[in-house]
Amino acid sequence: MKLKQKDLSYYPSIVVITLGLGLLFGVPLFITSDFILDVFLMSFLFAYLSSAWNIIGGFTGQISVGHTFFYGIGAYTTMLTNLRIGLSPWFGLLIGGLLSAFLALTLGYPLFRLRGRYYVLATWAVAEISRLIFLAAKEQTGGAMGLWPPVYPDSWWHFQFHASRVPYYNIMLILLLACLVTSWKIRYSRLGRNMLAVREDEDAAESLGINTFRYKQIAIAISAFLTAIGGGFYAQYSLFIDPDTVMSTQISVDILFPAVLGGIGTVYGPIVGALLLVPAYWFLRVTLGYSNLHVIIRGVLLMLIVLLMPFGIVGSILDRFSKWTQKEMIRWSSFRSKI
Amino acid sequence: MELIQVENLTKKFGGVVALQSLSLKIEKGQRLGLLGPNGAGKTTFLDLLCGYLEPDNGSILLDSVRVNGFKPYERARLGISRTFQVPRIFKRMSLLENLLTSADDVRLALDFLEKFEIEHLADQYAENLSGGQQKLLELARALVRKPRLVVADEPTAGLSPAMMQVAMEMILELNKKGVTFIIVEHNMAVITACCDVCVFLNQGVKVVEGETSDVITDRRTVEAYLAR
Amino acid sequence: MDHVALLLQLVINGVLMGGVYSLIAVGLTLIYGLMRIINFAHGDFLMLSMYATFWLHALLNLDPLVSVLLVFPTFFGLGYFAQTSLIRPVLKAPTITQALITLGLSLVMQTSAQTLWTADYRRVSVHYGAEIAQLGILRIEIAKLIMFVVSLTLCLGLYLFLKRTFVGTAMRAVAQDRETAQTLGVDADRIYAITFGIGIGLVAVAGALMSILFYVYPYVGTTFVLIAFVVVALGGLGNYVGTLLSGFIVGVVESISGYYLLSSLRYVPILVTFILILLLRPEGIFEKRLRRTI
Repeated sequence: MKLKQKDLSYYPSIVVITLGLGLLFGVPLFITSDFILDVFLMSFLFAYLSSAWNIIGGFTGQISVGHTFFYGIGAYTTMLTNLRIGLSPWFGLLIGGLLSAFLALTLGYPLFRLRGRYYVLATWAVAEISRLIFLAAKEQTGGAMGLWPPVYPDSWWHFQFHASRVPYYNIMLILLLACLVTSWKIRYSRLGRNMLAVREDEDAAESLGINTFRYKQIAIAISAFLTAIGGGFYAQYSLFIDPDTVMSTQISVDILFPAVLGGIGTVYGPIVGALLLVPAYWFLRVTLGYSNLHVIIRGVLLMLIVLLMPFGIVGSILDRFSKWTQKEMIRWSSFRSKI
Repeated sequence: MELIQVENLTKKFGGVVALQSLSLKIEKGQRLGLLGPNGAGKTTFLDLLCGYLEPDNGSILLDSVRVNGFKPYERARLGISRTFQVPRIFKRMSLLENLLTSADDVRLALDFLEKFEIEHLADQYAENLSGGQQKLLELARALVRKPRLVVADEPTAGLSPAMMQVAMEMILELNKKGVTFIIVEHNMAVITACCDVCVFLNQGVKVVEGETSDVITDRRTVEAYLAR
Repeated sequence: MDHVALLLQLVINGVLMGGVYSLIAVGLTLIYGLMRIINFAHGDFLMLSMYATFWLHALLNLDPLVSVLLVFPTFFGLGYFAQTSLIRPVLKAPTITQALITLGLSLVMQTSAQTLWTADYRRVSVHYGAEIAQLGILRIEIAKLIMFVVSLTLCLGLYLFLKRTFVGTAMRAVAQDRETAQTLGVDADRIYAITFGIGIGLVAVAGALMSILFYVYPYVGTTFVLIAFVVVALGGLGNYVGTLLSGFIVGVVESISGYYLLSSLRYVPILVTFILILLLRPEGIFEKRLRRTI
């Protein structure tokens, strides 16, 4: 049975994607409200972070609830290299990403020997322990007081923009697209298939010659690298970080919940989830006014959603949607392989 | 020519002796049937062979190379494929992707799916298959990577008669091309059709060994396993 | 004070403190061992109990030791309720779901505490909070001694409860083999709820005791539950004697590091030890690596 030529009719998709992109980049032309741009921006950030998490949590099936660790490392590296040695945050981002990946690989040796829920526990513990260490090491990290860079006038070199949100918006959007493409390329490649095999059944995967430990390491290194860059971005966007804003369990949950809601293990799921959740969070924050109440409501809602759909938080509509894209993409990726 | 040489293999679980000083030789191109009642140690043996368990004593040689301590994926890379008693397919991956994880050859993958008459479901999630179809998928996945040795745990259990026929034909066809088989089965018809030599295992001990026809008519086999 | 005496003093302090760690850890291992569910909110129940004790003291002048008697049944009920409403529905659900429920609970509890009572540090001041007994050159803090005695009593009580009473035996049975226990007439669901209740009740007692010596603030639970995890990891899941002993060991380590390091870093060695344990016992910190189920 031959795959038919017409399967390669993806031009409509390309048109749609280009239009979508144009619109997204064009949004700042129409919307001038900083507030709305912020909402978009944060949605992109969490879509990005969630996608990055999805590589280890969704594709490879290793549920990390301590991803804030990488986020925080990225944020602090960017901030500290800037403050202590005057390095441009762009380099700080990169160094933070590499450091994060290195730490991920080092931790992988003990952590990936743990099965299922024990791995989950360990990731949480690592993140919380790190938060406590960062709080305690006041001299090095500023402790609870936090860190902030010197204020420069708008500059790409210094990665600071005060007059307008638009540069941040564009940077985050580009990062998101890069992450999306990375995620997509991974998923529909041999690397991705092997990751999924690890997720589905480690023993069966091993029986096919797949070194499950190696693939877990690859996945977490990539995820850590990307997440840290997200943290670095946040550091330059908010121009203030402390352990409670970049190294808290709340962030870990906020990173993974969109993926779980939108479709864990799918390419678009985390993005869809974030684009739904983040604006909803902001809406809550605005209507409730009282700064902590909305966080409580968010937590309660999370628990309610989980209780309502314990066996498949992936919404059935989204699941069907992801199955459709799955089908189409498989035919395309397999067509691209040798015929 | 020996492909597998097992010497004095012993495995205990707490107080239970699963395998007792098992020694066995498997020649290249053989189709070995492994018989025995439940709890005889057959699956334990397969696990030890493939690296999921390490023996308390004894050694396993693959092509004269001692593979004790080799991880399952390392042994798999040496050419061993495995199927499991309860099919362990990748549920949330499509059938095609299941096979592609084994061998990156779409043509070959589709050919196998076609032979097992599940090619029309190539893009469905594997969890949507029936039990028998999943068994076939698992077998296809094990075979598509062109292994030297196939270790199959009840490969025909749950299959329809027609599909059983297809599976057996596949085994014989591949065997002609030089693939060695170790098959655990309870279905004597399959054993008789597919295996040229047999080993009867009971309570961790090798009781009978030899040509299939001899083993399954041996009094010890019949009394302990085949008859009531 | 010469070095030996100093060391002895630190060890004594550590052992006394360790009693409480054991108490928290025992509650943890009870829940964990039975339901295999990781309760990320365990430390937050500790925090809640500390606040309860604080407010009972501040508003009604109730001594923390009296609060102990009140918090145990209350938090038992709270734990029971939490199990039936939140944990039971997700017992068979995938790990991520279970993690999200207890994580969500933890976050809600912490943020609620902060909203209701602010992040300010609170303190319960009782006269015996600062009292010291002299034993030669050694000083024994009365508060720590009381904590130690109460903790040990409860640990012993739990041990006897598990071994000697019907409910305790039922709990052990369900932990071993739920199905079989059920065929013998044990209501496994109820046992789970009771177990969770007891575990939470115990950690609440620990909280009430600790409020004598420690500041109360919304995030106090995390530090101590991490320490409790270390204790369980060291002692071995389900190994109550081991957990008890590990509590003392951890207490001593903390005591020594608290003296020689900056006080803000006193918990760091233990926490780093947690990661080291992961390295040294790669077969899984909480149970022996089970035979791969093939």
